[in-house]
Amino acid sequence: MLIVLQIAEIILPLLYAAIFAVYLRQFLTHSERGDRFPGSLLLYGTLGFHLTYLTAHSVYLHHFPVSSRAEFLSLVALCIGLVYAFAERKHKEANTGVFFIALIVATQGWSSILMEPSTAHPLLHENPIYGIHVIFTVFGFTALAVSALYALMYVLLSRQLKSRNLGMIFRRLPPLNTLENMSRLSTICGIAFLGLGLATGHFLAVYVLDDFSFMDPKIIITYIAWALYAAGYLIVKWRRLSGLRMGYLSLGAYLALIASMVIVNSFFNTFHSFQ
Amino acid sequence: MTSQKQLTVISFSHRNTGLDDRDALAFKAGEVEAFVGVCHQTWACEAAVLTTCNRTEFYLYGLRHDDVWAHLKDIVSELRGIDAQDLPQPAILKDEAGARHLFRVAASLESVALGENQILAQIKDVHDQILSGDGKSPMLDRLFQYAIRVGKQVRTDTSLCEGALSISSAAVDLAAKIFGKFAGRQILIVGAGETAETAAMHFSSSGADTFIVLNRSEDRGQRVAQRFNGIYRPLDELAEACKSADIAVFATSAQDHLLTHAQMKSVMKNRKHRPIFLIDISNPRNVDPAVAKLGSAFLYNIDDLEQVVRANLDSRKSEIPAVDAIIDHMVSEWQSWQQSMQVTPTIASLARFFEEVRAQEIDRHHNGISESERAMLDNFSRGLIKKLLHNPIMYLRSAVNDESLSAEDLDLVWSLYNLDNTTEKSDET
Repeated sequence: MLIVLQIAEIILPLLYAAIFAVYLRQFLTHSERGDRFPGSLLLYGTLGFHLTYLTAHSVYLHHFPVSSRAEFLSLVALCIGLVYAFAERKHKEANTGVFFIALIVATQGWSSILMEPSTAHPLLHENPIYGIHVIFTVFGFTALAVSALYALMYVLLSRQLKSRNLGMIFRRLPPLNTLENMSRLSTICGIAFLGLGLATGHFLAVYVLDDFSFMDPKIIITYIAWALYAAGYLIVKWRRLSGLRMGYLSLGAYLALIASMVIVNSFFNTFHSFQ
Repeated sequence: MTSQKQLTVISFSHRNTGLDDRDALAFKAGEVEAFVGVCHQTWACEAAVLTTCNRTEFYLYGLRHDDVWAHLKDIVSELRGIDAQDLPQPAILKDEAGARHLFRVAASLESVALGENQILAQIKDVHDQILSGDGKSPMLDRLFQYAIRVGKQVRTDTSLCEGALSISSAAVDLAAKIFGKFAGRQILIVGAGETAETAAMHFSSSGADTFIVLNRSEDRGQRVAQRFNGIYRPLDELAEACKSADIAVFATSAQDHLLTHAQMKSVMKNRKHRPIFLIDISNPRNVDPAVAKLGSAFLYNIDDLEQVVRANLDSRKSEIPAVDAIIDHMVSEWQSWQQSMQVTPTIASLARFFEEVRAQEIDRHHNGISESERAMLDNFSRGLIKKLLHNPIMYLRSAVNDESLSAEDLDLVWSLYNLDNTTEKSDET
């Protein structure tokens, strides 16, 4: 079994690299296709393979794939892929794929380099509720990152349109309206999964862990971020806000979230660590 | 005087023929059919006609005359009812030059608007006519297949056909980059003159279905509004109308700004900074240029749009070398295929000769053997002949591809196996 997992670790980045090449060609040539874009089918198949690999890895090593940096990176790569594939499928727009697949190639490639056949892990990592909590939380944060990337594309395209300097970004990126909708879809995914992650984490803290403080800075930051995102999303939807300002707001919100996480990780001792 | 079978293209296009002559030469469907029929019956040659608003071209394969146009002139003049003396002098291209010309046409390098898309559909129509015609046209069938491949590859692998080349279509392209599809989007048409109507027509043909026309004169405004199933509003309500609009096209002869920065600032606040695309194609300008500084207000005036069109044209021109490379490749593929066709009758005769000998020998021995033995012998002899013919056929094919095959080589093959007595030799080298 171990040899199968090791082969999968080699194959995965290669598959993603091949998909990247297909998406890059699509981005550069922007061929209008009546039939389905072959890169999408390749991506769905590879994501299925990746999911199977992580499941087999978890079953074989008896813990959720969050015990090492390599496992965590592979999980992040899968989450990016799933969120992007969902947005692409929903909006039938494959021209932004090249950016996300590039991220996946880097993340999964790094994971495959670091991956070791070690089974040493805390007992907590075998707990299903803990596993679900971490997977949902990672999924939520990744979806918010994808949303921020779409917001960045929105801002870049807007600026090109305003400057009348219409270059590659103008020609290849989808319309502003589509980018905004893809960003919103990813935000909804982020809020939903982060909410589920927090809920399962809360359940875990109350019913499973003996000694737990809700005053952990990472928890506080995550709760605040989730509440702000959820409130922000409702306000935007209720007031039908859109446009360049919303692009900047979405981008700013994610940068603030990352900055606060960096500060918490750097200056506070916290039990939340994937090491 | 006669010569070998060849491809001949007789072209009347915007490059060598005036508009009146092109109109006079434009073939209707029935005339194309009649022309092709005459070519088949009279000269046993393949024929096709490509007729568009900018060109009428005759594609002929197998006509063994040097001065092809002299022979066709009368047919063309009769079919179109023009005096043969009045026909302009066409451009005549043969073989490689003819194939290259068709591929350039398919790539839209020969079009008035570089990179236009319509021509490919028109070439597909001609190919459909070739396939549905009474007589067989294998060479032109293949030639047009290559042309369609060129057209598709150019549109897939290069940016030759990207970017609008007119002010109105550039405006539509830019608006599409903001809103995607236009269905349900509210479009303000400010002004009711010809320019405003043309712009509205472009948006309408791109899927826009909600128009509001603002004009000083109610009669003209109502008329334009009715044409696009829209509603009319007086020009005084411009700022109010902008609050709910997605796209606003300004094309009036007003001498002052109809929309000032202060007005638009208030509009943007009211519409919660939702994006709006303002197209000012009037002269003097109707929208204060300072409006462009407002966040989600995208303002393009006529100069900006002209700049976009120029940039698009430059971008298309920069793709020409890449398109030429595709055409070069396809011309060489066409030539290779054509050459390989030259030895096809020899290969077919050779195979037929061997098959006849095999069948005769099997028949000669069939009395003394059982059914199963005959089947075995049949399989064995087929395999043997296939192996024996493999090297000669491969030699013929490779020799024709590298152009080392001479007429003497072919004569030798025909003489060696006495093929003349069984089949008519029709190869050309």
